[in-house]
Amino acid sequence: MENLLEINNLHATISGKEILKGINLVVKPGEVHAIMGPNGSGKSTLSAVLAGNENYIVTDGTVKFMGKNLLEMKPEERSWAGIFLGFQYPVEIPGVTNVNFMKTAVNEHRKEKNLPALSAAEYLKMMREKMAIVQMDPSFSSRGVNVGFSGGEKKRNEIFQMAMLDPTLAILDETDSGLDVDALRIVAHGVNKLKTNNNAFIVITHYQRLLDYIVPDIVHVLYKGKIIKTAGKELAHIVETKGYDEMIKEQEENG
Amino acid sequence: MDNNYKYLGNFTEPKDCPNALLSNTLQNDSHGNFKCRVPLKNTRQYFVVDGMLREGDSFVCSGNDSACSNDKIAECTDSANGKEPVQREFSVHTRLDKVSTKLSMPEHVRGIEKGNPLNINFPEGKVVENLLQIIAIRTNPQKTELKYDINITAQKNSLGKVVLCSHTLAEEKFLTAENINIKVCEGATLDFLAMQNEHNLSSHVTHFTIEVCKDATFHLNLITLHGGEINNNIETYLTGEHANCELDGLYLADGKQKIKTEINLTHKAPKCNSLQLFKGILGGEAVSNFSGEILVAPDAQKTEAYQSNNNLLTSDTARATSEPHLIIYADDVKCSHGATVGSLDEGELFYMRSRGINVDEAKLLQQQAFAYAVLEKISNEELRSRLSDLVERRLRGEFTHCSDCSKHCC
Repeated sequence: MENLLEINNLHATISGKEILKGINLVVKPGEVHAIMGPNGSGKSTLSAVLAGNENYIVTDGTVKFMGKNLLEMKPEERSWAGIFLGFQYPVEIPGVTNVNFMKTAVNEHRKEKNLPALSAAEYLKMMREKMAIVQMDPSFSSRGVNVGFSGGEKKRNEIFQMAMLDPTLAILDETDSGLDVDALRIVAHGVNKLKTNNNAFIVITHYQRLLDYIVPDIVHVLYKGKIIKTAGKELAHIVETKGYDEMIKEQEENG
Repeated sequence: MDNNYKYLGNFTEPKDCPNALLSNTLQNDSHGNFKCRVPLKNTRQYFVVDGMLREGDSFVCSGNDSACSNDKIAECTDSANGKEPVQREFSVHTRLDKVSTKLSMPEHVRGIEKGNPLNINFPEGKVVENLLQIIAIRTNPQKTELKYDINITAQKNSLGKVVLCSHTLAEEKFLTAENINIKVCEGATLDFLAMQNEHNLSSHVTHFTIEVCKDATFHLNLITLHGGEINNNIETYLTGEHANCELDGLYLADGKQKIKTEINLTHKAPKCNSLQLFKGILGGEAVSNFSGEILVAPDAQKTEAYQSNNNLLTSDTARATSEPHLIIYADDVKCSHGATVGSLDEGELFYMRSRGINVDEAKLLQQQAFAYAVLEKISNEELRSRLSDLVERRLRGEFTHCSDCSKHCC
């Protein structure tokens, strides 16, 4: 099967400080990868670099997405190509309504595919369907993007946006942070509903809890900018019960 | 065509315009038609072409005819220089319910230049929900400097809504100085919206003198879409208890445009409220100077006065200064001011781009969001959506001549 994403020896810095120190990762269609790791290990940096955040500078390595050089693409081009980043801290944009925001985004995607823009009615129908997946009230559409949303509402809004844009590779950066059990279940249910054999997910999380709902095929542990351990879903249980210490010690002894 | 006139559009024969057309008889050689799409159903329009009031044009309104009754709200005082109003034939095309009619009627043309103001009077107790619109057009190349006065009085317990649009239709370097004197008498309510949309060589100075009396309410929306050098001077006095005054402004400038806004607001009487919100989006090498003064007189206790001025710079070379002044002589007041100058938020920009919104469109959305806070204060919904549309087009840089009309207008 062709690889969806190939990350090779990726190094990245922010403000001159090296955060990623040689990441290697291959994601195939239909897979769910989980990336765990202690704070400051570079998990969010990896997701930001993949989405094209210009604050991070790639100093070495390559990233291929569906055969194309991802690092040459602008953030919006990555989105059109099928990459989606679910933000750990979704951004509030006062004055831009959710409906205007998403409608613009969906139509930009359609323009890229040479499809005509959706009519207001078509958009509304699609929006209602996708909102239902995360049990989001349609009244949210007329509010400013994420403005006055609770933590759980913001994360549901991320999954709603993902559903609208139907990405090939979704990277969910600590989507479970700040969620209560019910919201977590709703968000995870949304992700599972959108999962197919043709798309893939990278789920970044601190906790096993989310992985009970979104079951990963492969779990990676990231530490000091490198993946120090890769295994099946059982690795998440080991992290949950024993923490990272043992793995880190092992890594440092070997490295 | 000089780059200065890039917003003028092409002077070609217009396609059929959906609203009323006015053939411009003041220009011999022109077959161009001027159209203004701001007016809504039942709007009463007055055209002031190069300082000449064309009263007959108040017949140009679409929809409900009753709005065009002889109920005279605006009236012109007899000209100070003793000239009789000139009678002249001209044509007005109207489209009422898609049926095109050609009317011929006498036109009263007279100057409203200095000393001979255009007076608009809302009689005591009269509630006029329909908009009254003054469309001020600069088009005569022989007359590039112009001064005129507009007096608006809302008598006791009346209600009125006035829209003033300023345009330049020819490529000359126009200088316009207008004095707008507004008095809102006891218990009256006046909504005043001014839209300024002129080309890069125009210089426009507007001096507002506003008096808001006891229990009266005044609301100004000042939307500056375009203009070479625009100077808005707003002098406001709250003279009776419980007077209420809201001044809102949005100014958009790029290229080498200059915008100056000066506000002097005086609370003379106790228990009055004033609220000011002025926002500007500046690109290119545009310069904005904002100076806002609130003065609270010694016996104006229980005053509430707030002012904010926010500027968004979309280029490294745009400049904005903001000077708030609070001068308070009373001791039991609530007053505040805030001023910001900032650039587009990078975090918001990345968020939008990560959803596939291209960088230009994302910046546009941010600017629209910034402008929205002022636009949402326009109480008339149709007018608000029309102006939001104009602001969007302005920010897109396509500007603001109608897609279906040949002339640079709103």
